[in-house]
Amino acid sequence: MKDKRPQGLAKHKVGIKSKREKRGKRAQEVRGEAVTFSRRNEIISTIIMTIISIPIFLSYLWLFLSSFSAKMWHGLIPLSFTLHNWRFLWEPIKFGAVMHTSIWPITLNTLLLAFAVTFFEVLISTLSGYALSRFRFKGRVVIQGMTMILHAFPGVALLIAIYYVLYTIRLLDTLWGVMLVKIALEIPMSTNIVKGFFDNIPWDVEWSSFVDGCNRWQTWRYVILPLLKPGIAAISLFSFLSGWGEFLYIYTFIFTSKKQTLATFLNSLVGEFKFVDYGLLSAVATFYMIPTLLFFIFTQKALLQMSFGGRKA
Amino acid sequence: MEVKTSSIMGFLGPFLLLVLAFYFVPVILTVILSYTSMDYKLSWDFVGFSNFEHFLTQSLTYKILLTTLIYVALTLIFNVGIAFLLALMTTYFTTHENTAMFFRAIWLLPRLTPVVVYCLLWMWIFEPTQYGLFNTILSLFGKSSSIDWFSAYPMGVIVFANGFIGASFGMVTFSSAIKSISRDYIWSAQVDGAGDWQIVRRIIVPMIKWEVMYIFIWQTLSLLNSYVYILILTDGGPLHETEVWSLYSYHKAFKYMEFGNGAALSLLLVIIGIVFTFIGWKIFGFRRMMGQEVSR
Amino acid sequence: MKVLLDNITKIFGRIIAVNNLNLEIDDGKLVVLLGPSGCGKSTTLLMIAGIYRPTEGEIWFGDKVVNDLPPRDRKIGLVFQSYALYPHMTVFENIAFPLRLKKENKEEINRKVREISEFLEINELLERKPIQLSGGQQQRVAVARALVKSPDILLLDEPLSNLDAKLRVMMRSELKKMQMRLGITTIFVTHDQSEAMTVADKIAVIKNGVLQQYSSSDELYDLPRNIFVATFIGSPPMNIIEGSIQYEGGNLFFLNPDVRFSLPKDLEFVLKQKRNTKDVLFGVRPEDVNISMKETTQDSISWIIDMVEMMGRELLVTLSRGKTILKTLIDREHSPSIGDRVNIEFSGRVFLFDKESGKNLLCEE
Ligand SMILES: Nc1ncnc2c1ncn2[C@@H]1O[C@H](COP(=O)(O)OP(=O)(O)O)[C@@H](O)[C@H]1O
Ligand SMILES: [Mg+2]
Repeated sequence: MKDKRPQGLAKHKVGIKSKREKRGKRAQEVRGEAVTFSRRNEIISTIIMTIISIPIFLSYLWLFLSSFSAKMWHGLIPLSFTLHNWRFLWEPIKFGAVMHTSIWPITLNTLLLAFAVTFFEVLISTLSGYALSRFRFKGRVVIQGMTMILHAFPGVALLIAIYYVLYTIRLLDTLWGVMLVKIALEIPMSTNIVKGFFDNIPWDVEWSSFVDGCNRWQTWRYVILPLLKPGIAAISLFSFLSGWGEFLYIYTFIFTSKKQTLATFLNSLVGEFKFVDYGLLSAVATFYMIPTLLFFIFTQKALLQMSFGGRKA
Repeated sequence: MEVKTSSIMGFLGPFLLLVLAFYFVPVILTVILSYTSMDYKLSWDFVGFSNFEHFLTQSLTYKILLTTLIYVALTLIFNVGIAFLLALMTTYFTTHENTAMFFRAIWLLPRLTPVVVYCLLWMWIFEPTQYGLFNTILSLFGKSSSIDWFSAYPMGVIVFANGFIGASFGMVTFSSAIKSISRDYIWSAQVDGAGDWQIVRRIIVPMIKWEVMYIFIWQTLSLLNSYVYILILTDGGPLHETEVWSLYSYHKAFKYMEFGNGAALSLLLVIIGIVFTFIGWKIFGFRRMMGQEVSR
Repeated sequence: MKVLLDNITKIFGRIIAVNNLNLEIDDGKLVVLLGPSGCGKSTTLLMIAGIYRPTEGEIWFGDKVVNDLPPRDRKIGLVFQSYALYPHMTVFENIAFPLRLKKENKEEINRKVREISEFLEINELLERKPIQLSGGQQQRVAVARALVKSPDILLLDEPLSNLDAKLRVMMRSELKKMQMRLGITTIFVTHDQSEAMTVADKIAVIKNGVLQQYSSSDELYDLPRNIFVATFIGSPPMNIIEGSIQYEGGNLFFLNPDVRFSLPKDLEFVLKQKRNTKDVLFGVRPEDVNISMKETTQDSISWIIDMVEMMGRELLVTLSRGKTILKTLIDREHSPSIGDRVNIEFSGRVFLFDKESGKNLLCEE
């Protein structure tokens, strides 16, 4: 009986949700009904959109197709099917006399880095976002302003000094060091976002949940967490992908080839096989793209609805 | 909610520590390092202003400054323009929400793709042989010889590659701004006699001018500092033609191991970064922050 | 300009917003579209404006079908509830906007803007931005912008709903005066029945996209076609009591377990032709119910006062008898108190509606 949801909670949730849905519907209907609507302009605009999008969809298509074909007509239309390009999955790649290491430990490195970045970024930003949104204390406004300024400040400009910091705390040439840098340079932004999510949960909801008979823990469990879930999911997703795709910090702060990730691995392959073996390159790249594609396919609707103001490019 | 300082530190401690170690200390370090001749030995040898004097006397510095300006200006025009075009087309000019969703999704993909993969795509697009996309397109129009884009138009290559990423960022902001314009305004304008083009020019553009300004400032700042794509695609070449300021600083530090020199170069970027973010914060962040304060 | 809606239907996906609407609006008249929110009023107006295209049916302006005419060619002025004043333009620029789009020359624009703003008494405000105006001023500016190009038809979508109560009452009579002076054909959308009654030459009552009745305010009040109109028009709303009718000794009665009203003789003739209706709804407006302390006729004995609400000049008294409830508006001098037993008397019309169809039984088909 104890963990039964106190009555009245369901109402809040439903209220919030249906409001959101309504807004979505209103926004969708833009002007399709209008008499003025000129079909000609719509057709022209669709054509222009298609033309400027050509590099994007053709290049992704190429990446996929070319990883499975031995020969491509004009690099675009596959002529024969092969799995030879995917040989890196079961044997190390040779380039001249150099033998690259197997891809699996490298994949594991990448995965660990991405997960660690996600875990700590979500944890830290939830803590600080909650504090900034819910606690009143001296210096709050200063810290809040700071997160906004840092959010905009380009962290890469500090790379040289950060190199020295890592050297000083003996984290140069470690994935932990890279992880810390990565988290640090992203945390002002995610803190801002989490704070925004907390701000959007009105005090009334928290209060009325107390009135409805929730204790603090139940309030978190049944009221705050469900409302926060989309926000946390979004941050997890973005920090995972950004950790997974990270290149520059690894390229700069990691020297040992055993510690490299797919980004630097692919980059060195590109250096060697560019213009030579696109089949191999595109197979490795496609392999590297798998999480990205999975996330993209399953979450693109949600991603699009969230306007991610201010994600560093 | 009133809370004890110790528990506030519990919540904010990790955040503050990271910010201290990777923003504040580095900013100060950058300033100090620019007065040293630190090299791979990482020892502190103060040399006064000589790093700066060195750059002022070199003609390469001016070439790089010019390259940077051209690169930033071109990319900015390219990506803000395309972002606006796409935003308009996927909101105002489309009756089919599915078509709009499709294009918006397509343009989101580059931002989710790992950097190196994204660059690989552009290497193929600008591939110098007939196997590349642009050369294939050219051959469809009857041009028989292939163009070596990387040596003929290196600036074009990096503007395109960066422009597509930036455009997708601006597009998201612009299209949500356009969508939030009340339909009453559009309808009123139609009744008042405005055609599509006039509605765009006289209603939509003025109404999203804050967003446009925001994107301009933001993009300028990130373009000044975004050398990753250039590093992978051209590495500044050929012959410094795509060597922008930030990349030059990177090369100084991590290619030639002249950390003092590199820091002196990046000091300029750090200063620009601070100035820009303050301006941006004053104009935009402050309003947003005040809005949040009031709504409490 | 005369406006004719001929079998207009509008469907959004699965929602039928407007269902087979026929409406004729005479030149120079002010017609109100009245109904609860979501009933399709705005949709109808937007179809007349050319923003929406009717799914079926034709819209006539004068002797022309305008279905395919875009809004800018329809010679209409439109005012939204939100006013939709362009926030980045000054008042002058807002009003001049339609003229600029028509590429009229500068002096002409200046002259027309001055003229209309003098007419609406906003000539002091021309340099301000909309955000610096009060609600009432914004509303005038919106009207000015709609009128400046001398449209044939003026369309108003809940133009007063964003104003506070006092201003609303003032502005509605001003709007009416202005409309009469200009003699412009006007279609006015509102959900407020008292607003509708005061401004309209004719009112179209709409429910769920279906036209319920289209007539003058008087007729709407005196002879509502059905139970919906009867209860929607008038405040406080009409009393409705369920029961049946019966003939006894040549007299006509309305009965239910609690009450027994004898009905006026003149109803008999009408009802004779509809003899098969037994289950009816009896209606009487609160202002037509009188109470008295003394015993009068046999069927009006003893109602109990349940509640007394102060309505200003009058009192709204809730009476009950068994399960039947009746509200009445009375003068304050009566000073009734809760628990008193009183008798009632009908001083005005009573209505009978068919229980199933809701139709007024006293109307001719
Ligand atoms: N653009 C639209 N898309 C889908 N449904 C709509 C649209 N506009 C109105 N509706 C629906 O049509 C019905 C009538 O709406 P409306 O004409 O705005 O009502 P009113 O103005 O009388 O309040 C409502 O159920 C509304 O939800
Ligand atoms: Mg409406």
